[in-house]
Amino acid sequence: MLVAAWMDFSPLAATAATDYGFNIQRAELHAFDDGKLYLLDADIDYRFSEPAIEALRNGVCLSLVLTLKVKQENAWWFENLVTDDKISFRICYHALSKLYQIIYENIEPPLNFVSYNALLQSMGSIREFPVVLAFQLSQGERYRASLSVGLDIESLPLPLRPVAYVNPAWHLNSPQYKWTFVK
Amino acid sequence: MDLRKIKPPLGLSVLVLFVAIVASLHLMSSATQDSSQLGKLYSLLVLINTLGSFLLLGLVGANVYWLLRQLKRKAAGSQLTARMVFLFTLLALAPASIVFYYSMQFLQQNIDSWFDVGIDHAMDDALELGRSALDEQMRTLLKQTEQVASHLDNMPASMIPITLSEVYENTGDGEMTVFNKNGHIIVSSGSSSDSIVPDLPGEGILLQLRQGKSYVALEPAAGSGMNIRTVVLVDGRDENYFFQTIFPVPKRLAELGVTVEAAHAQYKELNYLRSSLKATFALTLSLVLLLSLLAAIWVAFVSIRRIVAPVRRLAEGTRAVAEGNYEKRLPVKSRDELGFLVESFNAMTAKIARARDEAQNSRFEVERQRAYLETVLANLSSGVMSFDGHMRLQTANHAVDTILHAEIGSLLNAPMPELTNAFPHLDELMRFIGEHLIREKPWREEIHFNGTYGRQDLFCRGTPLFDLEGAWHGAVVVFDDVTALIQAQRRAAWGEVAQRLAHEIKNPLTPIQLSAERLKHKLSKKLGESDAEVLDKSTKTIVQQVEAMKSMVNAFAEYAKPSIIHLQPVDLCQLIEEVVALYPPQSGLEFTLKLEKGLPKISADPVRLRQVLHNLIKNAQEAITPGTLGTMSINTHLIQVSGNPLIEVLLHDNGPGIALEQAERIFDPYVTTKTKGTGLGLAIVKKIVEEHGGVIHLDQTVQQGAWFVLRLPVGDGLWEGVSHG
Repeated sequence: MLVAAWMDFSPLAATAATDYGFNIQRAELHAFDDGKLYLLDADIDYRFSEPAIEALRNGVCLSLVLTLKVKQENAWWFENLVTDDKISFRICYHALSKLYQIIYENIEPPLNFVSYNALLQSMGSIREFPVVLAFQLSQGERYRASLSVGLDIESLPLPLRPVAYVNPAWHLNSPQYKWTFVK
Repeated sequence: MDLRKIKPPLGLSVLVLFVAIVASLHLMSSATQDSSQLGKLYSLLVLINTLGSFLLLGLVGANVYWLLRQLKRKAAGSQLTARMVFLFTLLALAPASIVFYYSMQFLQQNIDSWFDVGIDHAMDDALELGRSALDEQMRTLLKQTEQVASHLDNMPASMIPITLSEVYENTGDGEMTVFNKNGHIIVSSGSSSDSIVPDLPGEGILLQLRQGKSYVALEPAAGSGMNIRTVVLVDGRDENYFFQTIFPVPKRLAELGVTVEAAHAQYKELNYLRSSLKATFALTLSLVLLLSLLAAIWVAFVSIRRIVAPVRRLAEGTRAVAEGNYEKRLPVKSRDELGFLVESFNAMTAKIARARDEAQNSRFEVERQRAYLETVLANLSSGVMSFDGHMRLQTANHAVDTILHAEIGSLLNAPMPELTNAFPHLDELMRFIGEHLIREKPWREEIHFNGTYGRQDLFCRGTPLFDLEGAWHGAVVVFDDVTALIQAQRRAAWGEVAQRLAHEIKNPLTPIQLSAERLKHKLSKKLGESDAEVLDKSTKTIVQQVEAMKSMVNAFAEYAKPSIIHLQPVDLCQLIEEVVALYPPQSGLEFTLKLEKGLPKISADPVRLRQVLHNLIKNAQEAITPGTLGTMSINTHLIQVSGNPLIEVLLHDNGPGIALEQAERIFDPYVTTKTKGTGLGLAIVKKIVEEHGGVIHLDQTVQQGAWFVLRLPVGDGLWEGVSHG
């Protein structure tokens, strides 16, 4: 199955020229098992802000949410999305083992990394992550997909939330990465 | 349906608001204190409470704006409201601020007390201790792994599973995996892994191994256990392999490690979140304070408005009453003391309105009576003056002005001396009245005084005025001008005399004359020449005197006889010119005429008016000293007296004038200053002038010569003709 991807050069997709922030550099969906399952490949540049890194190193787990949306191109705005999937995971620091961890929801065991850079590298390189689409894609149809990732402030410890809402350093959200493909 | 009926009462609204605020604050407080299910709603609750604060702030702001506008407009009750709101706010703010300050202090100190340097070190030491204990395990396991790996060195790939199987049987629980650099698993044995596929190390670990460094690390396992992962490089015959072992940490040690790790992580997180925690508590506390204060202030506004409303209505009502609106009634909305006050106010205004109506009716009645009295007084021919206890003029009707020829009515409230100063010719009269006013009994008296137009006779009656207590406090003087009456009586008397003369004297004159002529006729021939001459002279004298007496009697008869006047429009100036033309310079008088042109005609008998002018001119002729050139000026002009047009004729001669003592009676019959004449000339003049509705008087203010002032009325129709044309 050929899946074609086009980079969307919208301003939103442009990398923010700040010290911190997330940016999706590439994303693709591959059909698997005759389109019953799709695998997501994505390269994401994670740059956490100093307060976020400090919080992580002080035992605060950070929750990140990947949002994948797929919609038929030229469809009316009110037509249902093919999928609106949210992939949540947490990154933590394990002080006893001095390891960084990625903990996916409902997936055990956690992924352990000896260094922060190894953690970022692993997080930023998503390979063949299984995505179940709500509806079957039609053959020959063109679809529009978008992927974004952001820090979930609401998952932070309660005392941090007001500060996080007010402080821009905690507003870690990537622009939407959009691409189209034909089944 | 009346919307007000379904509108919830204010008390219920306030109660609902308070319940909502307390519930929201309680939820937020609970969410702040623990991270239970409410923790997820914390942001929402903060948002709701913040919005609630803004809503209340808006309400309070609107109320403050309303109050400021009321204060600016100086609306009734606004100052009371402002004072009460200020007091209420102060009472609410002061304790709340104190509680807030000490709560914050307590909060800060309490949170700080959670943390201690000793505990910090203890936690770090506990972690380090845990690590040390596990390090021993890790070192042992790494040593064993390296020993196994040394057995596997240069071992054919087919032998590796067998060897590993033997090793696994000796070591027990754990997982052993041999894989190549591509991640291809050569052999794997063990049961500790939760997944079917062995958990291979990451690229970072493999990179470390390629550099010749073995890898050993403690890894949290699924659930509550811990594993020790070791990876070492195995030199293979064909290719190098990686030998990985994953063994669980002994259960007790793992539990202790997890406990230490969890406690350390929690403490470190809490320590890190210390400032945020303070800020969160401060935010919660501030929101609680802000919401409570704002709600209290808003409720204070609403309550105070309700409390002040009756007072405000009372103030408005009082203001309305002060402005004269006695119909103002205030709604009674409560049965408390304020309601009683409002009811009393309504009763008071009702009484005031009734009293006002009664007073107004009385005033109308008094004014009506006064107007009636003034009308009566104004139309009275008698002059009416009243004076108060201080001899100040209180009333003077129109007849006073007319009779006294002075505008007395314009000097109301003036004391008597001021009246005298304003009108000196009334000095004698005022002195007389003043002397009589202080009497406490009614009086009546006739008074003569010299007015502007000569002697005036007044018949005065005075009545003292007493107040309710019987004290004298002024008097009323009523007087009538009886000058004309007395003159008429005098004329009537003279008419009677004239008729008697005509009857008693004229009748014998003819027999006397005839007898004298008969004596002359009978005796003149019988007497001698001298006697005859005496007889002739005597009889002539008798006849002449009888003739003189006849003419005198005729003149009296003429004066006494009722006049027959034929009125017709007369141009007075033309008439004067005609009369004056009959007196050439040889007559001994030189005339100077200043006759105003365009004067209206008067309604008069020209024959009688000629007689008036002749009499006045003859009077002047006779008054002038013989041998001197007499001059006489005649001026005419139009004047207005009391709104009535009159033609005034001023006649002035350069004779000796008339003495003051004679001036009063100069127009009476038989009053003359001359040696010649009958003394009826000026009396006839006055009679004719008065028959024409005019007046004549002698101006006594002029010293040189005699000044006669003659005023004749202009007929209505004739006046209108002039005024319009």
